[in-house]
Amino acid sequence: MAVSSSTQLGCGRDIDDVWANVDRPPTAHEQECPFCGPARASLQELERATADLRAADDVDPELQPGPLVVDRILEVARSEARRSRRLPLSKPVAGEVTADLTVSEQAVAAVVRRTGDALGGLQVRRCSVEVVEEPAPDPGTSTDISTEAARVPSDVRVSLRISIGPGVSIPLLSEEVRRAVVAVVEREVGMNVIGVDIVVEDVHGV
Amino acid sequence: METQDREARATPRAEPHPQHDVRADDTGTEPGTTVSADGGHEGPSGSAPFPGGLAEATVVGRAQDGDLEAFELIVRRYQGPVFRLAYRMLGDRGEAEDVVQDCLVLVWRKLPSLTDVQAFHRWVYQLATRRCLSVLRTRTRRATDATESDELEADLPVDASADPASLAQYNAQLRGLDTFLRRLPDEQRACWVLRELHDLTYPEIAFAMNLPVSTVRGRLARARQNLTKGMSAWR
Amino acid sequence: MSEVSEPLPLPVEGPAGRGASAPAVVGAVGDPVDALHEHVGRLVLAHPGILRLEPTLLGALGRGRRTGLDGVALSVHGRVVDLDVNVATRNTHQARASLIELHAQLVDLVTRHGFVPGTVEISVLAVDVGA
Repeated sequence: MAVSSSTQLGCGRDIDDVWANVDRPPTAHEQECPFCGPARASLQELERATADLRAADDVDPELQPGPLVVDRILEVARSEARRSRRLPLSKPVAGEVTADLTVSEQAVAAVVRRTGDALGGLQVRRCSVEVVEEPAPDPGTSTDISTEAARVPSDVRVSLRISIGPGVSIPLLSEEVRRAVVAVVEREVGMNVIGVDIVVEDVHGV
Repeated sequence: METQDREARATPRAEPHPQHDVRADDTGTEPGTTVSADGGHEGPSGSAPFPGGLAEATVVGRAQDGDLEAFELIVRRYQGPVFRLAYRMLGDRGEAEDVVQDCLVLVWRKLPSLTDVQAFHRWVYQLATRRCLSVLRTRTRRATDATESDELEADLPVDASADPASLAQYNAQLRGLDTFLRRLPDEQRACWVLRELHDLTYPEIAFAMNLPVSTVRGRLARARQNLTKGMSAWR
Repeated sequence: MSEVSEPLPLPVEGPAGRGASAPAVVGAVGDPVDALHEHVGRLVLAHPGILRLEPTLLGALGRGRRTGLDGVALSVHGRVVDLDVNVATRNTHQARASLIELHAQLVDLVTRHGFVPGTVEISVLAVDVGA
């Protein structure tokens, strides 16, 4: 069956114009015209069939996914629960729906853990990273926000649960850890650490 | 910049458990699938609250934090519409189920990078539509050297596993519409299904398909034209 | 920035985004999409801040990838190409800066192949101590 790419009816009118008018009463021309009349009728017929199709689909048991689909999805989600969370590397700008450039939370946590290990006096047990939401200020008309290079890095808060070695001074260690975390995340990842929460939950090596 | 640091001593292995008042009852219901004042259309309204009164944006935000209960609500809401979209696009139940899985797992993985929670609804449709078109393209590429055009392409398969009795439920009109829907070029079918069966707005369809709104209008108009032509020939 | 090796033959120039046919590739073997897919993989690996590609998500669902390199998911609809790239970066290069450069390179590459860049996403799954 050939597809017509012409939209012109026999009377010279465009079918799209006829259809644009279909919800209103027919014009004087449309009432008389042997081309416009059937064109209106055919669209109305399509609309009725469409409504019937929607109603039928809603109740058709064949048009539901199987019961296992939900379980499989949740199983994957559960196993990936924190491992695969992606964090945006730049602050969002107005009108943006998703971030193109991301880093997994686990990747950042690993960077932090490695730095903590290198410091000595502590062992990082748990590390979580969360983005602190506040969109970038409106850059104004002079900045081209369509390029990634013009964007501002994300702000994040890092939370650590650690155990400390014997005789370690918590205030001094905390200060050292904070400085190191801020520096390494900026250097290796490219995010701004605006806060480091440290919970000392244990002492090791005693 | 001032850093805002906190520290504390805690008992070993103390884990905070945020309490959610997400209610698990009635999670199988999609708003709009029961007969309602607006005719019971099938696409979930993007901003419709969940059972219990939670706004979709709230549930999405919690899922972004890793809340699996919230994500489950989302899966149960969107699995039906995504399945029906994929089924209408691909013509095969098994492939449609694959799309549902692929799409919703991708939603889970990419949720933290969704910076505008109000866009969630059209974002899910974007992921689903793109997946369907990609599958179709792979199929076409394998079968022929066909290039994207306005010509009618190979029919979608009629699903062999479909219950013959339920096919008979369709009156002749619906069979006609169903038949010619399968024969539409992929992009026309996508625009038509998203608009007519899922109530997406033109900008939402444009977003889902990465096309200008004017192109979406054009595809939709051609789809209607092809469908009405087919259905009058059917008669 | 390291040099990318000899590029594959590029499609004949045509009006981008108009016309219905897929771009003709001059003198190339096989499908232009596969050619682009492979070129994307090479471009990513050629960036000095990138250590390796990381496997993509379909593996988690127990289904093999259909075509192309694992770590680069490419989908096409019409003339629009979407890319979803998963990498591990070297800790000698800031991940964000590397990705910003790579993103621009990928957008340019897609365009030069005669396609329209859609969503181009890059995700860092690991930052490793790299040689």
